[in-house]
Amino acid sequence: MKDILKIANKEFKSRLFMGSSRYPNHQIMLDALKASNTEVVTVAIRRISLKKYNENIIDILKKKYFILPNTAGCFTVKEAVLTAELARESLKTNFVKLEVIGNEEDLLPDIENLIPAAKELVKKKFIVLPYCTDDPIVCKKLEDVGCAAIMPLAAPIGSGIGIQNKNNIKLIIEKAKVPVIIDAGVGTASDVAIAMELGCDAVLLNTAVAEAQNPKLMAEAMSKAIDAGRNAFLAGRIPIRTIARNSSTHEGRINVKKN
Amino acid sequence: MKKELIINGEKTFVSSKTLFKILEEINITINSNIAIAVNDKVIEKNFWKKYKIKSGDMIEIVHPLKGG
Repeated sequence: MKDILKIANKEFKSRLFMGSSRYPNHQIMLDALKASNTEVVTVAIRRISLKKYNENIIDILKKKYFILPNTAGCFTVKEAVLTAELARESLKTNFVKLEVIGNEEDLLPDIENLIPAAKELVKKKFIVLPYCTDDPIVCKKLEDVGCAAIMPLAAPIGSGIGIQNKNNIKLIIEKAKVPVIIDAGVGTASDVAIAMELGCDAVLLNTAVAEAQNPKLMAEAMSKAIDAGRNAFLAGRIPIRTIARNSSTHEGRINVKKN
Repeated sequence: MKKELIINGEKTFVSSKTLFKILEEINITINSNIAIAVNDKVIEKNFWKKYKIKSGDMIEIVHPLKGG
C-alpha cells in the first residue's frame, strides 16, 4: 500500500524525522539514522569557530538525507527569521523547523513570538514547520498563517515522558488540514506508536535514540513503532468498551450433571 | 587603517575591504555550507567578492551543526 506523507510539495515515505544531536560519535549517529529508515534529519545553525577546526558532518548527511534546519535557541522573531534566512542560504532549502522558545530552562515555545515569526517566514516563501505547544487553538492559528505542517510537542524537549495530553493531540489532528508531526518528548517506542495510533502524520525525535544505551537498536525500534502505529491507525481500532464481550460464542456450550 | 568589526561576537581588526578578502584575512576555510549576515542581513555568496565592509559592521558567519 502506498502511504506517502506530503509536506508542501515534498513527499516522504518515512514518517520518522530524526535529530542529529547528542550521539556519542558520528559513526553511531550514522548507524542509527540508517537503522531508523528516516529520510529527514534536522540540524541547527550556529556560528563557526574562528579559532579551531570546524567539523563538517553536514556534507555526509546531505548525500543521504533531506536536511531540515531548525531555529533552535531563538527567543525573538528577529533572531528566528534571520536564522531561517541563514539556513536557506547555507542549505538551499525553503524548509525550516521554526523554534521560538521562552527560556533556556524548559525550552517551551513562546507562542506570542512564534506566530508572528511563522507569518513573516511564510511571507518570505519559507515552508514553515513550527514547534509548538499541544494547544489546538495555537495549532489552528499556525495553520491559518500558512504553516505547511504543525509540530506540537508530546512533552518538554529531551524529557522522554511521551504524550502528556492525548486528548489535545486528538483535537489538533481532527481540526488540522496540514500534517501533524509530534515533536519532542518521546522516550521509547510505545510513545511513538501511541502518537501514530492517534493519527499523527509523523514523529520527530532525537534524544530518545541518541542517548539510548544502544542507539542503533532503539532507532530500529522507533522505525517499527512508526509502522505499527501507522498501520493500527489506518486499520481502524475497535471502539473502547467498559464491559466485557465474549469472543467465543455461547451457542453450543456443553452441559454437566448437577451434583 | 584597520577597520574594527564584530565577527561572531568578537571584536576583530581587519585591513581588507571586501567580505571575501576579510574571510581570507581571518583564515576562514570557505565551504558551500557557510552563510553570512552583515548587520542582520544575509549576504549571498555571489556578492561576497563585491560586498564592501565598513568599520563597525556586525558580521555573523554560520554553518549547519548537529541539532534536534
